[in-house]
Amino acid sequence: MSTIKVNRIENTSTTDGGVSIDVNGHVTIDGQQMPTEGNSNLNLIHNPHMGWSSRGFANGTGRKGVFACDRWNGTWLNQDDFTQSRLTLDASDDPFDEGNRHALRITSTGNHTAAGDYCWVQQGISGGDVLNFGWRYSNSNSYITVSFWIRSSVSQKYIVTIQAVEPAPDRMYSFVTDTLVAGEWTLVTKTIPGDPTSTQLLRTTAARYYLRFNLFSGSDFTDPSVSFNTWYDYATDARTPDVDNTFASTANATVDITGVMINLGSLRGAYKMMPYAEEQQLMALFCRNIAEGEHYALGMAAYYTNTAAYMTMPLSPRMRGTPTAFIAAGTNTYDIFRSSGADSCDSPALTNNARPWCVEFSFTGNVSGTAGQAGFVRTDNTSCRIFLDADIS
Amino acid sequence: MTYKLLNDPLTGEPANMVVLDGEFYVPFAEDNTYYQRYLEWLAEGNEPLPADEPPAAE
Repeated sequence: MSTIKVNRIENTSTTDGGVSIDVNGHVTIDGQQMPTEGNSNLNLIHNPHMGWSSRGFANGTGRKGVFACDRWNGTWLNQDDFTQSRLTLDASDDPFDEGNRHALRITSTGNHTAAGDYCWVQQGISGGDVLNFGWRYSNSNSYITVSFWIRSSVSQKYIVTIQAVEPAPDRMYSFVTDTLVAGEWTLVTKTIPGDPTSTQLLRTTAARYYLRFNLFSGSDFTDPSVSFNTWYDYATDARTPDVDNTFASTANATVDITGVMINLGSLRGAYKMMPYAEEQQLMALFCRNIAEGEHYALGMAAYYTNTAAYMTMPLSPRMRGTPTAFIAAGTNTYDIFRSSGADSCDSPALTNNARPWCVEFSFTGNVSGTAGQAGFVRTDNTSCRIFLDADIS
Repeated sequence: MTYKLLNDPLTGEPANMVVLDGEFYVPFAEDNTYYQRYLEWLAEGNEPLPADEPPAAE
C-alpha cells in the first residue's frame, strides 16, 4: 500500500476550494471541516446562535432570572447588577457568515466587583444528551472542543469553565481566553480531554455538565492556586483562578457571545442543520411562553367560589420537568368572560398542582363570579407576562 | 432575593410553593431548578417570608 503525502489538493486552475489536510490529519473539503470523530458535527449546546428568545421580553429587557436567550442563564448577585439582552447581528459582524444572527449581550453597571459579586452566563447540559453524544468522558484521550465567538467592549481575558456534577465534590475544568481586543469579535476554541475520575453518567434530564462564562467572579469564588487547563475538584471558594475585573468595573461595558459549540473531537465543527420545528420543540422542553401583552387567549376557567376561579392548561408536549411560572403582578389585568360580561381580575398564581404535562392557575384577586360558572380567560393589559420555565441552566 | 411561602387558596393551608421576588412561583418539585436553588438557599441558614393570612371564609 502506498501513501500520498500532501497538505493540499487543488484544481489546476483555481486555489478556491479543494481538500486540505492539517498536521493532525484533519480534513477540510471546500472550506468545510470534516468530522474528526463519529458525531463531531453534533453540538451539545442548545440555542448556540441565540436565535431563540421565548420568554416574551423584547430585546434589551431580560434580567436576572429572565433569560434574554433561551437556555442561557445570565446570573449575578442582585437583580440590577448587570443586564442581559439579545443583540441582532449584521453582515459586518464576523460570526454572521456562520449563520449567527443574534448574540447574547451582558452589560455591566460598573460597580459590582465586591468579593461576593459575580456575573456568570451558563448553560446546563443533561446527562442523557452527553450519553448520546459519544464522548468517552472519563477517558483522557477522548476530547470535546468548546468554541464560541466573543466580543468585549473592554480589553481583558475571560475565564470559561466546564463544571461536571459529581457526587461531591463536582469537577471543574477552566481555561482562559487571550486578552481580547476591545470591540473585535474573537473566535475562541479550546479542546478538553475526558476526566478519568468521572463517575458513570445516568440517562437523565438533570444537568450533568455546565458550560459557564465567568465574566466576573469576586474573591469569594476564586483562588489563584487553581490551575487552568486541567480537571480539579470544585470548592465554593476556589471555583476558578482569579478573574479580570475590567468589564465588571466599567459602566456600560458589554460582552457579546454567540456561535457556542461543544463538538466531539479536537476541532470546532460546522453547524448541524436543525429544522425549525425540531428546534422549536426542543426549546419548548425548557421554556413555554404563555402571554406577553394584552388580548392573549389563555384558556377556560371555572369559578370554584364566587371569588376564586381556576384554569388548567395542558402542556403538549410535556416540559422537561415541573415548571416554575413567571407571572408579572398586576391589578385588574386579566378578564374572565362569563355570563355575557367580563370579570376583570388580578394576575393569577401558579398552584402547587403543577406537573410537567399540565399546570393550574388560580385567580383570587378582585374576582367576581358565581360558583359553577365557567368563562374564557384573556390578558387585558400590555403589562401581562407569563412564562413557564423548566430549564436546567 | 426574597422567598415567600404561599398558601393554597382552596384550603388556606400552606402550599408546597414559594414565590421568588414576587414573580416566580416555585413548586416544591425535585426536578425544578428553582426549587433546588431554594433548598441551597435554605441550607445557608436563610428563611422564607411567611405566607399571607388566608382571607376570611365567605
